[in-house]
Amino acid sequence: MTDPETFYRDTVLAHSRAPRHAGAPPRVDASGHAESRLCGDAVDVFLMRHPDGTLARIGHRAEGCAISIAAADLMAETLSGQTDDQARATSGAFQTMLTSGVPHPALPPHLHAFAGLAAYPARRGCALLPWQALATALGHGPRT
Amino acid sequence: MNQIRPTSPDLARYRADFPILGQTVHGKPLVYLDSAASAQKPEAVIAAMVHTMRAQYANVHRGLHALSEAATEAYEQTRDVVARFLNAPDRAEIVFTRNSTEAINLVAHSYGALLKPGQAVLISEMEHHANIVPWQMLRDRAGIALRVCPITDAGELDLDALEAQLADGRVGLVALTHMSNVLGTITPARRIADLAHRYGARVLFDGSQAVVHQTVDVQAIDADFYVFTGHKLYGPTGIGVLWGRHALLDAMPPFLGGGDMIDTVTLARATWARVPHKFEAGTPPIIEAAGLTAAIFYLQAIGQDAIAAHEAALTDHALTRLAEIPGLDVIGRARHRGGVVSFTLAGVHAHDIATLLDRQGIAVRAGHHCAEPLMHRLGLGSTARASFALYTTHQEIDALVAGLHRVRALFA
Repeated sequence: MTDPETFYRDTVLAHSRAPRHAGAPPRVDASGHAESRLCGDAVDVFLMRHPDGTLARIGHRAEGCAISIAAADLMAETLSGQTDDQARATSGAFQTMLTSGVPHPALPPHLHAFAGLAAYPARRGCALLPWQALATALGHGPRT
Repeated sequence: MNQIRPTSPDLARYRADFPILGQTVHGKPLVYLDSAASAQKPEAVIAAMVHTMRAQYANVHRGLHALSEAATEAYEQTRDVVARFLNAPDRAEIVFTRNSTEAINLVAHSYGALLKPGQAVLISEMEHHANIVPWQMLRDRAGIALRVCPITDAGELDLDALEAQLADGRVGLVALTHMSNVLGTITPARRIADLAHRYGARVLFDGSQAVVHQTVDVQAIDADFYVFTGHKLYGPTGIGVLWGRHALLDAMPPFLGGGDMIDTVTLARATWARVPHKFEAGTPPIIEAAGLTAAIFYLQAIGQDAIAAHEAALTDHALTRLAEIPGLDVIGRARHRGGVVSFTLAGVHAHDIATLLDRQGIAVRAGHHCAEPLMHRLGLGSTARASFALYTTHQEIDALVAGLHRVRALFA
């Protein structure tokens, strides 16, 4: 894989040290929670929608490793403006990429570095945790 | 107990006995600091198991042919070896199980069957899940209370609280670790046994970590049950040991039913074999027993006191060097401890530490170490843990320290 130190330096730490989407948006239309049984890490995801139902802002509260916090922050950045179905498709592409190890063309380039986690099965769950919280949030939210 | 410090016999020549340690990981020499999870295997253990399969393998206790007799003799020899290893008074008190977990489950099931509703089992806050969950299951099926002895902030058993919990005489069994897999704390086994016996309780020690790092004499510590596992003792997976006093084992009903554990069977009923066979249903770990014998002989040839002294020196070195790292906290400050050091690094999650150390060829454990209640007690989600073995070198600890400085610099 890409050298993990490079992955941390270029992708993970940039988003875990000063996450841009930490905290709940001013209005929370739906939320979801996920927890890792392996390490006890926990992520909450908050959704605020536009009147047409698309995702306006996504916020997160992540208590965990740097990878889970960075994944939550980049997920929030990626999903802004998407419909629920688009968000589900993005989530599916992200999961496929973490298994295949190949950057997924349907995903924006800033998520591609996570493909390297395919070589670290124990850490895949860290990156997937916010997406699991998202799935719960979408399950509770209105379909668009 | 061995408290030989600080002279460290040079065990470096034994490192070559472990073929796996010669490999590289991510292009770096392997620095294996995860022996408390499972220890690597010396050539002697590998060879003994291969020899069994190549030259001496058949089922045991039933064949009337030469190979079966040889296999039975070798398997039963392991019982003698383990009995001497623990200084057990009687070879029939050695029961082979799959691991420590199964040994504790056996006691929870079979000794648990002799406990009466209203009686209690007493564990501590620093137990491995293997010494918590079987007792919760016993509590839930048999109405046995489960009591928990607190630990001090230093990570030692609170012996006053232990005595207070024993005082009403309702505790039937005290089940405690002999050495914490997270904190490295070595518990005062003889004092615990004396306290338990004073109030009419029996005592079980989970020796999974302790047997690796010190000589254990079950008579000297006056235990009633003692369990350990082969794979942490440089032996194979798939074999564990329960030692129990003969009279207790004799009074206990069987655990698993099947072949080998019976005396006679009709379609209506069965009668049980004598101990230890009553507790060894089915084909036992024949190949693994050969490996366990080889592992114990290997340890004894080096000398358990020499290994204990080496690990004490390694632990001192690690505690000194780790203290140099700003933001690093060692978890647990027990006065009597073995070669297991858990720590946190400010601003860096344990899993990130482990991934970044792995990139440098350094294997450590990160997480809750199968001791979630202890993590809760300490107010921690997870820690990183380095653990030492007879093949660990001072240079490897220095490599860990250098690796942690590098992780810290990355996160700075």
